[in-house]
Amino acid sequence: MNFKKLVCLALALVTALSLTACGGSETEEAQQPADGGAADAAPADTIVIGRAYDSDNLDPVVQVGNYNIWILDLMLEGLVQCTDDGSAVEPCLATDWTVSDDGLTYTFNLKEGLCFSDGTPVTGEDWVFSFERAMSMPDESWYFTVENIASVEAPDDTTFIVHLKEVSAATLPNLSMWTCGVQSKAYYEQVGDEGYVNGFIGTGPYMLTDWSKGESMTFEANPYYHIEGQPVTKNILMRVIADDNSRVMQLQSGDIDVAINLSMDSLYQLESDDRVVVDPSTSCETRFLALNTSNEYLSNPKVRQALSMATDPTTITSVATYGYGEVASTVLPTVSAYIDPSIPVNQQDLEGAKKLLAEAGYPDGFSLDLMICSGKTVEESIATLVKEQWAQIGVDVRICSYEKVTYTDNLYGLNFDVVVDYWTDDICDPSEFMEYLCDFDLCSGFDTNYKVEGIEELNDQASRELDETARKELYYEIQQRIADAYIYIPICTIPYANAESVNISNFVQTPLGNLRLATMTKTAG
Amino acid sequence: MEKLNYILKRILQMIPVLIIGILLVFALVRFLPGDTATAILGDKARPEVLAAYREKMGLNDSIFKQFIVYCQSLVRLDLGDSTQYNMPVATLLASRMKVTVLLTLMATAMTVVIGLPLGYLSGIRKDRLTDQGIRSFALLGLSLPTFWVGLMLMLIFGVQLRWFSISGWGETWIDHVKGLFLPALTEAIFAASVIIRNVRNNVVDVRGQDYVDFARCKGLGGFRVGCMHVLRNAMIPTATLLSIRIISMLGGTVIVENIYSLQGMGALLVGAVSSRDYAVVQGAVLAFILVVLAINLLTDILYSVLDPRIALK
Repeated sequence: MNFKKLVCLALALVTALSLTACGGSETEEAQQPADGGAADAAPADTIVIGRAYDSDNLDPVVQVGNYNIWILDLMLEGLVQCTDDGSAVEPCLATDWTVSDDGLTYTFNLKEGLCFSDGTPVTGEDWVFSFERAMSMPDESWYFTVENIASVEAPDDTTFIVHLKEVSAATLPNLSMWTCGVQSKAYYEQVGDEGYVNGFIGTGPYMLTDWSKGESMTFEANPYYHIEGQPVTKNILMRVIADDNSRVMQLQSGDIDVAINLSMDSLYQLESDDRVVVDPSTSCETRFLALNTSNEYLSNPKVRQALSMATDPTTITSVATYGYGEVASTVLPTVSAYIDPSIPVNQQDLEGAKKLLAEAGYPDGFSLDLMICSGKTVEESIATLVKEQWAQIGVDVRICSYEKVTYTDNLYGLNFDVVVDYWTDDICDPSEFMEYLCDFDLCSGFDTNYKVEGIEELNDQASRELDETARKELYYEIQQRIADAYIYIPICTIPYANAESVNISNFVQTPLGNLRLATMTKTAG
Repeated sequence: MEKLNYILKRILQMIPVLIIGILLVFALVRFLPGDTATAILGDKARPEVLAAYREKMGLNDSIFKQFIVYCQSLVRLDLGDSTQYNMPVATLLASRMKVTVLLTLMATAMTVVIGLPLGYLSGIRKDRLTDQGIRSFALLGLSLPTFWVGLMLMLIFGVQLRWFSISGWGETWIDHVKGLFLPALTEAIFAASVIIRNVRNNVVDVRGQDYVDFARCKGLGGFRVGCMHVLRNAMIPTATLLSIRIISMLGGTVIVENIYSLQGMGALLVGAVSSRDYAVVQGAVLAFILVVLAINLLTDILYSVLDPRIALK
């Protein structure tokens, strides 16, 4: 009797599943036009973006990590913002500003009639609250952006004054950061720090309406947005699709409209698909080799120079990034306006390298461990090519691949010989990266355990230098001294590997990674 | 009454297994290399920021103290909070568990639906063309890696034919079933291949038994003999194998959920290990242990249903 029931149950399941399968195809087909097919020429209401990870914290002051940072521009705005090309700072909620003669007081005139996305007006009190909250949290990662602020005041709802502790060349770039975005004080008082993790109320083009953690985020257009006619698209759905291949396939099948953070090979593969536009956006993401001078061989400057001479970054960049990367002459992102033009891209000279190794006392070479973070195709390719190139001068490279957390631990503990290192700028100014490069104590001479003489002082000087030309000269000098020490071998800057359906226009990701989607549209195509 | 006693006895026997499981998971997670603070705050976080985070999260406490705190929380049925998602682990698990459970149930149903009839058919048609064909299919199913099968099914049925959605879990029950069809099939292909081979061999064995000849001599029809005597007896070892496959499929969700962007327990566990989210890893593994223990208990009960000669003691 029981067995019969089991057979009946199995048959019922087969029938149910078959019916569902058949029904599925029809429903899918029926949905095509509504999803952006050929039937309707009007812009679509919803655009779906697929990304590899979900955000985990949206508190502008507390959050860390690109998957939080990159979407903050959808909801948050400040006095000024970085331009779309990442080259400068431009007004945002401030129309203009004046700087006092001593360079310590910035007075901003704000746009009139500003409202938060919940319809409440933006007041001076909201501005003061937002800044003072960031200034009161010195243990948070982004505190450095408000560290130089002595106090803030808002005489009225359209004037905001920032008093600095000391003159700083990076004041405006710092004020363009998310820590300085205006948020509704009333909403914070309602939800507190705990609720703030799940979002805040700002003046950005979109507002977060639903967050299914680990799965998706839904953004709706801010009806009170201060720019007429924006945002163009009513809803943006950010869907988490961890697997790279799945993101590609979902883009090809039309399940998503934009796929971000693909791998370079996926991007290359999509080039031949006419349903998709490959969009490698300029980024601030650099890759370079850092040589740990704690290693016996690498403590010798001639050895470091020889390894540098044995490396051909042009070939590595071309192969590892499928031609999408830009070969680098220094460790600074290639988009930076502060790159010393007198430093050339490294040229491979194997004979010279061998000679130098012999002079250093290692004519037969030696062995080194090259650490990479696992699962990252660009890093894996760089390591493979470096191994091949260094083998030509007798240096035997053992590639050590570790998962992210172990990699990070080894990086902090200097438990490696050479590492495929990286940097991503968060601010449109070199000050953040330069501080890491020049302040030896911050991360052991940026993973090299080498103190380059005088660069800390030069960086201090540059951070206070308001004359742009003089500031550039100081940064050039720092780069030259670092280059002369041969502690890094610059490789490349890699783009943000994004791809969109052909009917998507105006998808913007700034070189800092921020998504600017107020004018993005999806039309029939 | 006898059954109830048996179930109670088995539940009591599960407690030591559960305790050992909790201990092991707690210890293993702590032995993972890498620092939680850097996993959460990023590798360029400033030293003072990292130190403040470790202090706040109790990461500077001794392992023993952390274990005591964990056990105290467990007694209160509090699994702690996720550092990655900033929410209670129990809430997180509850939302993810339904995806994995439904996926595993569908995969199990497909395994049975594909495996049993094909295995039976292969057994009764031993060495004929049908048998050779089914055996080749089973061999292929066993040889193909799950991730590859998943990607191919997505490519064919999701991208080219567009019969199924490949974009996750959806909103309604119909969406769920549609969204889970290909992932479940991905898991079921391997499991069904195992079942086919097992059922086939069992059917071949059972068909040679005296009681089958006796049933035929009694004048029973071929279908009745096949279902009531052959398949039923052949299924007893298959039930054990199926329970093992279900447990394996639960483990397989780690891969399948990732490929199909399903936010279930497998995807959650992978993310939690990567970000050293101890509370989530412990909670998820604990949930997996409980599910595995429950499956084992159900399998034992199923034995007595399939074969009344097996007494539950």
